[in-house]
Amino acid sequence: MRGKVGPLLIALWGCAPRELITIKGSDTLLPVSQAIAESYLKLHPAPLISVTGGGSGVGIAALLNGDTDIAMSSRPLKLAERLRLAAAGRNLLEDTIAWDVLAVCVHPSNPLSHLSREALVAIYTGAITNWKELGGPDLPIVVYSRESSSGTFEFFREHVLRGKDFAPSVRFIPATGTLVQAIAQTPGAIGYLGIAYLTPSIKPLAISDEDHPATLPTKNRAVLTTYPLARPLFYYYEARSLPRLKPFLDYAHSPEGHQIIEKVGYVP
Amino acid sequence: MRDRIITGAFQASALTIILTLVGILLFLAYEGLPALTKKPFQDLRFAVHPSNPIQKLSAHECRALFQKNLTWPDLGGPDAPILPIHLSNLERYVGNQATPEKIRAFLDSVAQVPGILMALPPALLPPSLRPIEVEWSAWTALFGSSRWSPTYEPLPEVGIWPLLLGSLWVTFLSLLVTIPLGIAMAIYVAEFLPRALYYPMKVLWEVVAGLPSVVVGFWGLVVLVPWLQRSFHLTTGETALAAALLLGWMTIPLMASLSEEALSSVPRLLVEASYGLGATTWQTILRVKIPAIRSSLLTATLLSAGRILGETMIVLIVSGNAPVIPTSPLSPVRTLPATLAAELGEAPVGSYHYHTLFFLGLILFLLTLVLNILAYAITPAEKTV
Repeated sequence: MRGKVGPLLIALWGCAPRELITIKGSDTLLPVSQAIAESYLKLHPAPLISVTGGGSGVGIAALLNGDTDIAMSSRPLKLAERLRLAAAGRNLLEDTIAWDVLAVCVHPSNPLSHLSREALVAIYTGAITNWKELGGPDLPIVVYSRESSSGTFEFFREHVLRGKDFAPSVRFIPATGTLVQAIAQTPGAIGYLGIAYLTPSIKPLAISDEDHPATLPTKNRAVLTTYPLARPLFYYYEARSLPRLKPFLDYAHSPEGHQIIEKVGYVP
Repeated sequence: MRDRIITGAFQASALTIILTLVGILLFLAYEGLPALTKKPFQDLRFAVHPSNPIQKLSAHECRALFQKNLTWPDLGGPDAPILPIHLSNLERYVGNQATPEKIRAFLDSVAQVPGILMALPPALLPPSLRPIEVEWSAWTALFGSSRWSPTYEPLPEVGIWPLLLGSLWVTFLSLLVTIPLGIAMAIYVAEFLPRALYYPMKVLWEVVAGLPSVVVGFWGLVVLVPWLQRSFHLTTGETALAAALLLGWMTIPLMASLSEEALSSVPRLLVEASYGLGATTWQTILRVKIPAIRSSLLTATLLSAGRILGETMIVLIVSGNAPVIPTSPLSPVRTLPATLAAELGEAPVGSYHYHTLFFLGLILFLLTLVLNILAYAITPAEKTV
């Protein structure tokens, strides 16, 4: 056994410099990329693929520094980042790999089934602090959010709060798993998370806004046109590395790739 | 010659520790002190419509305008609705793929609106607007605000009191658990525990002290937090109390083993004299031994406090993490180390947020350093007893 490990490692080492694709960034996209890379490697063992998380910002920073081939991001490049890139003469390509539907969830015992975006803003900025103000039970609202390092946080701040700031009483949770646990055990809780993390222990609400009627989040592609909190998930890469990445990207967009994306819990 | 080399090697290893410590301190200061001198909007200029009489805004007023919590007339400005434009909301109007030409055209068109307030890089600012000054005082921002919202653009809030008081509050509550239980355990082990069980007990302490704090934290979230919630009828169990119970429990072995060492070091002569005078075991412990090791107990307390102050994972998981100034054991708290752990990963290097986090790190480092220096400064006093 021991005799075999050495040569194998050397073999891996030998092919690493030319034949390694690195993918880095968003924790939301991490399970998707891992699953796609795994089944892609079964068909094409030659280029090894390394997938690591860390957050959207980490991935984009690594791409700009040339430390990764593909940056996974749950938010589009910011205008400021694009302006900087354009000034440096870099040409990044954007590839929408999947859609994530954000679910706003409460404790299963909460009788509410629907919230408008205005009500969400009031809750997250601290203007409303009790469920009875929204027609629910007389129970203080315990407001949860993801940490500011998460792309989900930025999406929520941009698309739900639209320029308002979170109230200081909002509790920031470092990981989505912990957030699910916290909502499931707190009757007055409200929180937001990617639909892939939805479990029967928490209850998603239908959300409406100016342009969308109240809709429940689902993993169905049709939800993208009616539900206000769906966001695209991106791969970013340099135009010059496209030839090297193309087989892998084509696989991600193939029917097999779509099946994997659905299985992980996102909308292809 | 050989001796000299060996001595030199020992000296070098001792020096390494000191140099590393100094290095860390210098690095923290180098990255943290710019929080006092830089502005979060170093590369932005603020501007209004030429008809707007306002010359100067405080950071606080400006932030309220951006959030539309204040209006122009509130500050003596024009009777026009405010239109705030900055880099992150610009995207909402022009899309994030906009070319520089398209952006410029959009900015020129909104520059006509009387209620305009722009915060943009100088190159993008339409020349027809009149620049205004926004006053930023680092001291007021860091020490005069009770809000922590460091990623809010274009004017973040970096008040450190919620975090600092959160840390101190959790440490204080934890010590209420650690000190009595730690000393009680030390007395039990030193005085009453059968000798045969002494080493198993020590091993147990080591095990508790060596438990990964993320495991303790997760257990806390799944078991302790719901239990607190049910027994105290709370809206949520994620409180300073939950963090303090876990941290206090984790630190008992440190407190106990330091106290136990001190108890066993009380001179035999003193103890025998006490028994000789007819004192009972309890009287000897309470009247002779404890007073004799008072300063060691204080040392143990300070070292435990240092350990609790720096602990990260547990508070990150069970304390609720809301940056509010704690008012009761049932408040949620966000501590300095939890904030560093949660935010440092994504703060762009060199940004104001980044410098503020290092400033927090510097404060945390100095607090722990002072606690430890105090702890050792107190110890020698006992030798004179």
